[in-house]
Amino acid sequence: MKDTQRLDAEQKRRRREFVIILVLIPIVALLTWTESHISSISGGVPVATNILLLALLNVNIILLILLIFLVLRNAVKIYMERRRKVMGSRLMTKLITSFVTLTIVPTFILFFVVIGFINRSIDGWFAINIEGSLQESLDLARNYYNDMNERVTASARSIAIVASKQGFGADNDRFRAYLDERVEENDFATVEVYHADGRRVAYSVAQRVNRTTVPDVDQEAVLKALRGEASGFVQTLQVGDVVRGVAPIPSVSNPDKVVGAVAVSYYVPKSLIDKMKEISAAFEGYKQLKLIKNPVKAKYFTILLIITLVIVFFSTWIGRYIAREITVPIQELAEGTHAVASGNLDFRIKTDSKDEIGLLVNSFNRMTEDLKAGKTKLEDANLELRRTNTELDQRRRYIEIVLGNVPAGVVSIDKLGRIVSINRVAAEILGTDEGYALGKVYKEVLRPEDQEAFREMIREMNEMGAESLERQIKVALEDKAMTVLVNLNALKDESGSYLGMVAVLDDLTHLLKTQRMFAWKEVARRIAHEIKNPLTPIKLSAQRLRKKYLDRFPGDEVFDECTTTIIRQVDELKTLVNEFSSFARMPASNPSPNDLNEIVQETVSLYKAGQRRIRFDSVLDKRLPVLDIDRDQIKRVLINLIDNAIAAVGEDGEVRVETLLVEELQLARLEVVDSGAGIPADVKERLFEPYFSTKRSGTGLGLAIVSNIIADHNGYIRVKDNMPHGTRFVIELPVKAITI
Amino acid sequence: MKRLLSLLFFLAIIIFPASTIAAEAAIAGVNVDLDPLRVSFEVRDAFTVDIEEAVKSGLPTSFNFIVRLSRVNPVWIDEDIGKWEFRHTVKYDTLKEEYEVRLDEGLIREARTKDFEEMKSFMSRGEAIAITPAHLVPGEVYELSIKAELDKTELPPLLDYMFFFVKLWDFETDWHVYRFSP
Repeated sequence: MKDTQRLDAEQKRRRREFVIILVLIPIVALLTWTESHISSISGGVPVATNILLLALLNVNIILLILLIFLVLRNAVKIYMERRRKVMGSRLMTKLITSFVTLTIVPTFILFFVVIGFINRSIDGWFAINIEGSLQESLDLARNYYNDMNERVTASARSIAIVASKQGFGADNDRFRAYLDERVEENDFATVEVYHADGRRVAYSVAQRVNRTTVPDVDQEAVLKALRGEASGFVQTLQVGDVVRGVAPIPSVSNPDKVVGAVAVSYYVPKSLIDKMKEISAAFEGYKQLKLIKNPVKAKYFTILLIITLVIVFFSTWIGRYIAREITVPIQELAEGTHAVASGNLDFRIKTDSKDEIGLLVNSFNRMTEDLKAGKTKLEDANLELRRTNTELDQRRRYIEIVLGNVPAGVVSIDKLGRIVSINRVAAEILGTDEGYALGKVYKEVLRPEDQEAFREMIREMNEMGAESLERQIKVALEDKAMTVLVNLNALKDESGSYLGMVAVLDDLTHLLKTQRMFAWKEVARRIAHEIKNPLTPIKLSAQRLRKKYLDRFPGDEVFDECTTTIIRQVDELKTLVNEFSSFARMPASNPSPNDLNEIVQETVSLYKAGQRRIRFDSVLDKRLPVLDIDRDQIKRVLINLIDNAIAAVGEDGEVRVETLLVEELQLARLEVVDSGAGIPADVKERLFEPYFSTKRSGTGLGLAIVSNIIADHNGYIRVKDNMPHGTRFVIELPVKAITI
Repeated sequence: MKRLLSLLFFLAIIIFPASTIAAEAAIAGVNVDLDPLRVSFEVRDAFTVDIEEAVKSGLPTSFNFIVRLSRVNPVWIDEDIGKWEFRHTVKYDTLKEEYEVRLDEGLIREARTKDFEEMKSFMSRGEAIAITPAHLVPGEVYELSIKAELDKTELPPLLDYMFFFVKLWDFETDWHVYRFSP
């Protein structure tokens, strides 16, 4: 739509300029006609030449005006466009400036050179030597006239004196002969002698002169001479000039009295006059030329300036035209690029140009089409990719969920040893964080002892050429020791290329513990059964021996002591067997909704009364919900743990019981903390095994029973060091939604 | 833009040179004689330095005098009585060093003089030029308008060819109005 409007505006503009040109043509014609008409009146120059010259000059002037208009209009437009920061205006300004500069420099150089040349040429025309020569020639001609004038005047005077002395009557032959002689001697045309009354009394004419050629002297001059005034003048005739000298004839008796006049004429032939006139005309022409020297210069300068300006303005206009030819497509290209960059791939640039710009525009249009096609394909591919990604993401998330929920730890590494995936269980077993471990080489993540174990397994696999290997390893965590079954598998693709490894870590700790517990229970049951049976007959036999023979051997201390020892030891054995028996026959837990905090308070209060020196404390989490637990068994657990704590702290110390709800894990945490000496690491490993005791008097069943009860409650018990010293038993029980 | 304006200004100066500006010539000393009607006047400051140079170079120079007579009509436009044109021409003969003056005032008179001032007087003055036929009605008011102008300088053919659109050393006086009543 915008392009269409622009094209319409361009067409309107062109139409308008066409109309202007159509109007200008008759104006030029009219001006040419008018001026040629004026010129034909004023001079004798050929009309055709005048018309041609006038037409050229008028065309120049009209073009100049038109170009000034166009250039000014375009200059204003460019200025406004630059101010509005219209795209392409800067390039157009640069192009026009370059074009004009390239034109102006040589044009003005030419202009100044021509002006200088014209100046020198015109100054050369008016060189002093020419003027001097012409002036001297003219002076020569003038001198000729002056000399002749003086000569005829002087001759007239001398003849007048002779006439005065000899008389000049019509009958004076001697005087007439004298006149003829003077005419012949001095090459005069005529000599005339007038009487005081104005009559001509003597007349002598040269034989070479036609009498009609030289007219009589002007009566005015004769009268002037008769008044006593001599004169000399030139009379112009059609056949030449006559130089005349008229002098009065003085009276012999009275020199102041004029008795007549003598007129001497000298004929200057026309051929000589013409030559002198030529000299005069040349001088006049020169002077006239000199007179218009400066206007001539100014005119040449004006014409040259007009031509120069026409060239400059025309070049400016052409420059703008060429600049538009370049900048408009570039501007459209820029707009197109902007549109394409904005995502409009339907943008097309219209062009009729067949040149490189047109090629560029066509290439742009083709590129846009290709881009559009490519974009469509890309969008389709993107959609497909997104769908695939969604599927992959769903699968990944599913696998992550599966891996996150499997009780086993799963770790996979690529062929460079970088951890590609690791689930929560594996991270816990390996003592690291999932986020930290991902992407790192396994050597950076694993503990040194675990690294050694893995390296050993990999070495074995390589030696055996096996693709999988299973090993049971001990893993020492911060607060517990674990027995882990590591199943290491090499990953290979369809072509058998090695991709990496996947390790499945199974925590066997609980399984082994359960197995041992069952084994110990079986042992205890058998021992109880096997030992308990003979104990009663032994005790009865010993009692019968004492009853029957104690009186017989009244002083026999040995008998008394032995039988007493037998009976006491049998009792102790019985107690031991009973404990074994009770351990072996540990009743199944009978969970019911109970408040753990209440159980803790009850138990701790029992100890507070009896143990004055030891500080008992309980920190209870009020948020703790009602748990599904066996009250008696949990109370026994607490008692066992507190007994151990009291034994650990000795006579002076602190025992603290804490409860905490771990909401995110849905666990109720019960901790029994003492400030005793703590438990060595190697002991921690076997702490919950039956018959393992660090106390002399202990049976080693207390913590085994605790562990058993917690296991029955689907809980978990571990032992940690308490900071700064002491031991911290941590029991975690699952929190389930309970309906009371 | 400044440079362009400067260029145009310079062009204007070149196209309209100072020499084309009319001299401050004016008609003065108008005197009218009746029965028959004769008018005398002179043109002051007609000879500028340029015109004097042109005359001395032998260039034929002519002054045209235009005399218009009209009867003043107080209620309506004036009535034109007539228009008369006279011409004074001078040509300097460089060979004989004298000015040849031709005074065309109805009757043609010619004069030759070597005196430049005398020539100027011949050229600038109109002495008792008869305005005929002019039948004036006694009691009416008449206006005599006089104007002088330098005839187009006759350049030699080549120069005329070059300067066909240029008027050299031209001048034209304003109309001088002289009101009288016979």
